[in-house]
Amino acid sequence: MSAAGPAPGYRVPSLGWRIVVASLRLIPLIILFIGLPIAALSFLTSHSIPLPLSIAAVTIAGAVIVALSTARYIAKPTGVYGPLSIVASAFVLGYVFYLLGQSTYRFRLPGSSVTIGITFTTLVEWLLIVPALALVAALVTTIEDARAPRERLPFDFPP
Amino acid sequence: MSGQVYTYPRRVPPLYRLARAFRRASVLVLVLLILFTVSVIYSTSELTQSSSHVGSFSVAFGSNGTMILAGSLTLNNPGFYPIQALSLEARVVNETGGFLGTFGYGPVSLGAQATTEFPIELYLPVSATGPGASLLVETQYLNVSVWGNATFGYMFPASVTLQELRHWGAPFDHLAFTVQSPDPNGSIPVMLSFQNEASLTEAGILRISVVAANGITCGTTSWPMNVAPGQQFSQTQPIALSPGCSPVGGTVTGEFVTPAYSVPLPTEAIP
Repeated sequence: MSAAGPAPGYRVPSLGWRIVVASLRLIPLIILFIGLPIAALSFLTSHSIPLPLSIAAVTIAGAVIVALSTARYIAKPTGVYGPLSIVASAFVLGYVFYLLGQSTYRFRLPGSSVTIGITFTTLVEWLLIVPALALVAALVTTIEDARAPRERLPFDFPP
Repeated sequence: MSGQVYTYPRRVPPLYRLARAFRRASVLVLVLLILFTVSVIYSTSELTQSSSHVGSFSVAFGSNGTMILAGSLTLNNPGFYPIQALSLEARVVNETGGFLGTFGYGPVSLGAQATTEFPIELYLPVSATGPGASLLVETQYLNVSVWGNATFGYMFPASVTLQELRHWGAPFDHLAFTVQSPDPNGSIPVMLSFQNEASLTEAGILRISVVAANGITCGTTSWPMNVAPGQQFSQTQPIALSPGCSPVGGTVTGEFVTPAYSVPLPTEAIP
């Protein structure tokens, strides 16, 4: 026998509010996906160390991830949220696969005869789990939205 | 924040629960990987600032016709993770590119927050001929190539290669035999000169032979010597020749002998 009682209400934020919050979310997202990687690569460049990844590729990938994440946030109460999440997760999965291809990094220390090689393949392989799980979650959400639209909204926007 | 207010259901839908579980697992894996990576980076930075060093090398003659460069590598690992499969290999060639010797060590493991001293012993063959002869008579810069491999934090294999020119002080630098005109009494004065540029004292017997062109030894002499590091040595010693043995067109050979080892010196032709 479950406890009976009046269920509290939930409120879906308006489009304007979601745009405002999404704009604020842009700040940490840009720092995390664009600012920090470019700062790390610039640090290597300033020390005349060849780059393991191209700055252009990192910038473009970071911008796409930020844009998709923002779009997902704004579209969260709608039926587009699931497909957008699939696209975002698939893109991140592709990006991590790109990183996997670059995961052996050899460079010569400037001004010396020392060559250092570092392999972070295993770490990137573990990292693949993250977008893969997110992709499955996005697929389930898409199925849920197709079967029962608005079913998830009370839990995505709890009172 | 504005928007329409809807009734809140009590029961969480199964598909929502499933999607939420995958999302949470994804975030959990990401957080764990970030924490692990940060701790490995921290450990590696601690390692680079640790008191790891290569100790000074000592040089000695070995009993098996080698010179031994002995030293040690002290590695201090203050990080959280062991250094696994650590191996080192060094290859030494002389100034003209002649291969002299190689050194290999490992694979060994160095535990977390531990300091270990690894011995380094490089055996360089010395002989009167070949690339090893240059070690005896030519102060030079040896080309030392080093390869190192190790795995940090269980999942980060790393390698280091470096090439270095190391000064080598020859124990018989600029060794020269000068054969003078034979005396009327049948002996031939031979002057030997060299400088001890090595870091060891050369204390032993020096034996010199005059060998005729047909390979017959015409005469031999020996005398004790004690040459300190950096000291110039020059001495003339008469060698009594066997009757009828002509040194013309032959060679002068030398050998440095101690109770523990003997070192053949490069030969020199007699004009």
